[in-house]
Amino acid sequence: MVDIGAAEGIPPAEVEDVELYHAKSWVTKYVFCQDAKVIAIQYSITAISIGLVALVLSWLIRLQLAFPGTFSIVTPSNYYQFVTMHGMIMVIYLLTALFLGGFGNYLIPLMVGARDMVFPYVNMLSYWVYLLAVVVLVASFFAPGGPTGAGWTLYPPQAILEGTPGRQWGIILMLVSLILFIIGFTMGGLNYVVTVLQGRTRGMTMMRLPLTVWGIFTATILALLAFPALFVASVMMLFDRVLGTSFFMPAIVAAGEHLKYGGGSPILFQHLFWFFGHPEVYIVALPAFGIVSDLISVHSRKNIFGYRMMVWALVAIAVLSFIVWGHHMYISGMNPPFGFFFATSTLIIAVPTAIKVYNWVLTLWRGDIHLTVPMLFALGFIVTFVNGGITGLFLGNVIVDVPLSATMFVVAHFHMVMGIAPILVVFGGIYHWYPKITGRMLNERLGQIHFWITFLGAYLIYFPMHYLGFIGVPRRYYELGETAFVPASAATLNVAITAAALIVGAAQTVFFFNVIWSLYKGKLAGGNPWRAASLEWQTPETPPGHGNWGKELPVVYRWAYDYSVPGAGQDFLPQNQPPAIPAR
Amino acid sequence: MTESALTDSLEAPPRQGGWHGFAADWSSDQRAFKSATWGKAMIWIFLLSDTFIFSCFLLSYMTVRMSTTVPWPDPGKVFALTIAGREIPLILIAIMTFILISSSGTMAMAVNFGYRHDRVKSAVLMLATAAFGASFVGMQAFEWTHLILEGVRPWGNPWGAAQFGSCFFLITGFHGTHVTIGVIFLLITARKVLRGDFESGRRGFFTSRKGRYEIVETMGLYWHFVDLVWVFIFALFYLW
Amino acid sequence: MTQSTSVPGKNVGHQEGQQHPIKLYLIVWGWLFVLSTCSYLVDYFGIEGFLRWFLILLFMIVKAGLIVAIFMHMAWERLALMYAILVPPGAVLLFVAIMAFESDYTHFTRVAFFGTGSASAQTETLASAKPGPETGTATAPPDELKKEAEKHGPEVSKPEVASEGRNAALSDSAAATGEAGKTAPVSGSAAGAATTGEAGTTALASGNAVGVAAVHNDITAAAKAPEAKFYTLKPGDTLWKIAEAEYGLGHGGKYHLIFEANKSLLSDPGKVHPGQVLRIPPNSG
Repeated sequence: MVDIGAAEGIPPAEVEDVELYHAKSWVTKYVFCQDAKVIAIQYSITAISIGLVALVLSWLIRLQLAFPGTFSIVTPSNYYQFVTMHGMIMVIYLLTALFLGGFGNYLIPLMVGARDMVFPYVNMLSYWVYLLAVVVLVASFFAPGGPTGAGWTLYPPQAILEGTPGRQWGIILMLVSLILFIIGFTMGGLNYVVTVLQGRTRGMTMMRLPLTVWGIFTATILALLAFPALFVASVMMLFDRVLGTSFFMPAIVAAGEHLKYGGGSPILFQHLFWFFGHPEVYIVALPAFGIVSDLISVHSRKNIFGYRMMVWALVAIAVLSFIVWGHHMYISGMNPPFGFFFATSTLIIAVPTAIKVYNWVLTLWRGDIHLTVPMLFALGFIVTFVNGGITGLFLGNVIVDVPLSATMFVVAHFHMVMGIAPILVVFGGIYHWYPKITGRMLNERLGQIHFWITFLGAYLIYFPMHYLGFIGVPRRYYELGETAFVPASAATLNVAITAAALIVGAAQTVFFFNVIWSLYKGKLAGGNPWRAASLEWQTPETPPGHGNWGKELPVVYRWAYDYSVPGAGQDFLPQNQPPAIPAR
Repeated sequence: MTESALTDSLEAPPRQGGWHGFAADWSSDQRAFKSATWGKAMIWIFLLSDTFIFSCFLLSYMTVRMSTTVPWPDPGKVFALTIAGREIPLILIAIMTFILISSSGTMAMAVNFGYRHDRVKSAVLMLATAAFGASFVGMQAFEWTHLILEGVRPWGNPWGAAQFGSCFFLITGFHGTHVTIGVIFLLITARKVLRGDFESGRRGFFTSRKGRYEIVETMGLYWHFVDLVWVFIFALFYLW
Repeated sequence: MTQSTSVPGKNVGHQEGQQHPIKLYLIVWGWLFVLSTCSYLVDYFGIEGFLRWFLILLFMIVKAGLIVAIFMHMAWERLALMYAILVPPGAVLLFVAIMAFESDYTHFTRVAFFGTGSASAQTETLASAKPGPETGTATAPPDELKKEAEKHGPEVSKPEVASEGRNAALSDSAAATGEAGKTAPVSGSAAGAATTGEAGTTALASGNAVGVAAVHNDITAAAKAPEAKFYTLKPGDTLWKIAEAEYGLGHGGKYHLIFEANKSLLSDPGKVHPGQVLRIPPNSG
């Protein structure tokens, strides 16, 4: 990348340096704190805690599938409640909150060279509203009737009708929690977007941002524009449930009763839900793309291949993700010609995605690959993501989707592409930035154990699941019973999958042990253990202090990927190092 | 952090306009929106997000209305008022529209006087805006009462599709909430302007940050947006 | 949009301040009044058809444009901000277009699958408690189905044909959901694996696994004996009063029959609202 700024001089500051709020007490420093770094940690801890609940739920689901009816705790109602809560928590309360609220809060101000988010107070509110949303969600477990069992898509009419578990309070709390989450997220999301757009330091142009920031930035824009649809759907469904309106409710006869509903459009809900739901997939995936790009570049000591292409691919995916939502609805009974439109746009979105994969691979090509733990996770991501992405191409075609829809194949597909792949990136990111956050390295050996069990275990879980889907095992069923088409060996396979799931889940304790142990006993990291070029590693203190940069904001002279620079003193050039010798 | 030093450093080269400016802005450092402060950029993006919310409400209304097989009540008749023995269609809604437009006009001028540091005029105009807003909410309350007395409920009404009441209460209610929030913030901002907070650099109660007159414009942007949404609701809900 | 902005202000805070003559705002204000009056007059004079749509949307767009451009100062912002804000709503326009096609299709399926649209019409007629002439307008199907509509029209207005109404209403839900396959497994929850065997049937689309068996029963039973009646609550009604009216004086204690039959609707026998439609079960001892 050409150092235009360095050659022509860096423009003067346009905005005065901000006056930060300085904590006056322990409470304002660690609890009601306006510092994005503390908020990030609060977000992460909350998200991971609720994620652990979802992990336990997935164990219970797997136990039921492997040993139907053996565990008295998993009744049919409970099973559906577990499935619903598992999906909802993992997608929204864990991954969305962790990538944007956790990684976003920590990394954006550091990577763009800002002292904090642009509106720290609003940022703080964002976390507390999110926490409230999580509390409401957890409360539904203890409400009469338990949490909702409507499936994570909450499709009406059945979601609010008699006979769906959690119909009394669960669904109400679920919808309220979603509404709160969206309000809280909007407050944070505005901060992330405006900080990237308006709060960069001198010399930091958009095309010098690390791809991590680009990923989180585009994902946040998606979220700000997609969550409104979910917000609207939640409000209207809440009205249907509480006030008895019929936005989504057609005329229904249930148990011989002519219900009071009539004339509503259930398919409207599906459209609204997926208008949010498909961008949501990319809200989870884009930050992962960004982070993985940085991990690969740093740990193979090579600049990212095709940086501009990577940026435009992110933008293209973001734009396209708003016109593909219908591919979740091929069997919903929507207007049939839509299938053509949505299948086409879905296949087009594979192009920028494939560009990204090629560029990752080409970055690795002839790189000086260090198989550190973050790198292992990044490589694991590429493999699982390609795997899940290709099955996505199957499902994007209407005629292939129709028989495969609502089978285990779909479950395997989306767990591979937006479950395992982003979670691997989350781990990779934590192993990578933990030294910056705490000043200590995570234990390498434990990290490798953690990676290999997680990665191989994920394949043991989800690879056979594709096969189950092919032979027609439906998803969401409590118990398969006797069927003509599923051989008995499928049950054995289910037991194997469950065993793998239990092991992978249990192996995460290695990670948590590592995180806590290293906090006190880990090797001291120093300011820049990975010898990375991006700005967050150049802070005067590690962990970065309040205000991030000491007295002077850094000035940026180049992009974040100057590794293995010929003729340079060390094998990388930090973004804020003034060009002593004329750059190239 | 002294202002003078920064004013000196603000002698940036004149910015290009048009498409060259577009490319230059996006490829520049520090800020992509050169004409916007942080607050303005934030409110614009928030309004964009809010646009999506209102659009989703309106398109849901469109969907249920177009797909129902039951006749949709004629809003012209439903919202008619009998004044002096004559039934005039939509008269109340028309008055509400004019009130909201007027409030937008006063708000625009309040922003203008704010930037001229004319505190009293700015604050008075903002209070007038708030008064218009409050009367708008009051008329909406009157309209709601009127309809409820005629038997319109969110779950049904005497004239046709049940979704008529649902959409009406939902959309106007959500818009009314926006107006109410706007009125509250207008009062707060007007007080700040009148007290001279933006001259003296007094810190905000919650954020402990110093405010500037751009807050009046931010407030104005929100208020105009509320008016804007009403334009769409008026056309698509009442006139359809 | 080119004569932009950076007129250096007196101090940093007002660098980006917008300064325009007050007269401009007054002119725009006046135009907004005129345009609002115009769109009101479109309704007042009862202009219909394409012209109405054209005028309403035209005035709407012009008004919105004036507010955004002048009042919100978008006209003086730099292109970067203008495009960042004005382009994304394009996604909404596409969404609206898709939903317009979709709702047309839903309407088509409703009319096609229940013949006349009378099913939901009946539900609504019941709800509005205005039988007779109302139904005439209610059944307004496309031409090819009009005949059938007339055939069914008179019957529909009579609440006694509840069986047909319910039967049709059931397919209403099925067609509208179109979701039988998808919802079935979940809704099968309560009943467990046994009922999910029936996944493909339309009955399941009613979304209530417990009701699956019952729905079938109900249809056959109702076909021979449409005994249930419907009653629309008037202001001042109580379940006791209705029971006395329906089952005879002194039988007010049987209000619990009505309550039991409408449990999905009522949470408490003391809480009923005017306009609610209650199912009145036959007097069973």
